[in-house]
Amino acid sequence: MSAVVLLVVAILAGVAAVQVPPLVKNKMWRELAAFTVYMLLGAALCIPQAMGIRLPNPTKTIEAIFRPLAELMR
Amino acid sequence: MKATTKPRISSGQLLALMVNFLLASAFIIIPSAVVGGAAQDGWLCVLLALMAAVPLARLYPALSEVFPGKSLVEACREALGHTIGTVLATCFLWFALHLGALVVRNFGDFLVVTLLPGTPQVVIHGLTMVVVVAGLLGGLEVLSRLNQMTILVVLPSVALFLLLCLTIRHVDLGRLLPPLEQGIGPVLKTSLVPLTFPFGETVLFTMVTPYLQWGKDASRVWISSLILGGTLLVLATVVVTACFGPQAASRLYSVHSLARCVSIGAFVERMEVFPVIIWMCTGLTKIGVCLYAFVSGSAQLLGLRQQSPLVLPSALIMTGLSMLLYDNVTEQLDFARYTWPVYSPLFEVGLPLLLLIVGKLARRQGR
Repeated sequence: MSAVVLLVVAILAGVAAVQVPPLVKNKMWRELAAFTVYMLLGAALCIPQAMGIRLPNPTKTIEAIFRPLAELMR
Repeated sequence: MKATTKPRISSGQLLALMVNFLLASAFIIIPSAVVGGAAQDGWLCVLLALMAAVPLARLYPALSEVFPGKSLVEACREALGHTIGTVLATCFLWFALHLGALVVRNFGDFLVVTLLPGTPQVVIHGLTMVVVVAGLLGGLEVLSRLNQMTILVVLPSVALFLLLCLTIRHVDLGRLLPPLEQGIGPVLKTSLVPLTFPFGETVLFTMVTPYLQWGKDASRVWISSLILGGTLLVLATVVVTACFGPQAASRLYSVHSLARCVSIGAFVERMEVFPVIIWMCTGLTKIGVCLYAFVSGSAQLLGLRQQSPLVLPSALIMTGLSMLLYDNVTEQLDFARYTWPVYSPLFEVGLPLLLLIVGKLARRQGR
């Protein structure tokens, strides 16, 4: 666990600490669920990168799909 | 109450938002990209793209006439039913998120390459997102008021910058000759780049126009902002070509290189702050609009009462994605020149056109 990972986790925890209590207080469960899903997505994108793991790159996927058409642009 | 809190913005604010949105990354990247494709005819490509974008400026506002008060995401569900509508709306949200991440990435790349070579890129991305989030947590109105202030900096900077560039000794409009040296083919092909890169991207404003105070103005605002932003892009390309000729393509950020050449009596120098100021002001707006489109679209899709809880997590997703997109700056230019012009029309033309046709048909049957 490097310092960067700790920093990312701290940021995530900070965001959750600020956003969750008002949602629970106002019983906005739907918003809370959406918030949680988005936070998990964000964590899944940020934490591995902070640890130096290379995630699959969406640009590469898009480039692969559109390669035949993109060749026409060259 | 299904709807999230509806912001209200005036036509003037929308115009300012759109002009800044159009200038953002395009002002820095488009000159190099079009000169790379069409040599000295690059400015013609931008001009052609501008003309081709006028029908788009009719198409997008027409959507809010067929689906009054509905954003593109809501219109998807109304026109295509719950399942297909949700799938297509999700794709559109991906487009907004991806575009936002690309702009963040451009923002970071530009600052790292030109200004802050020693700073880790993630720091720049993170701090940018902090500013954008601070604006967006207050809603769209806050972002548009912030934008009203920055455009007062941007437009004079652009004008002054272009004027200053004309004082560069080796600027020679003769470098724009001969026109159409390679025939019209490369020009037409390359004009797809500016058509999809700044002009078509205004499709994201279909998430904003339902909240216009005077809805009927949308089309006029759209066209005026395209003309204003587009003209500035044409002028920038002309000046860049007049200074560097077709070699401008070999420069990554030709507008920035251009600014470095300004030297009046060895006294007025180091004008490269101008592109950086323009880039910072407009970039924040563009990232803000992309993030807003993603957040409000998600809230509408998920039926949330409030969209502000999604702003921070979405900003995290965007930052994470922006760090992932490219391995280096050349890849980014390659993507902007070859893949983006064929990938983005799906969302910029395909989806709105489909919705418009389905909406009109449904209306006719309803009568």
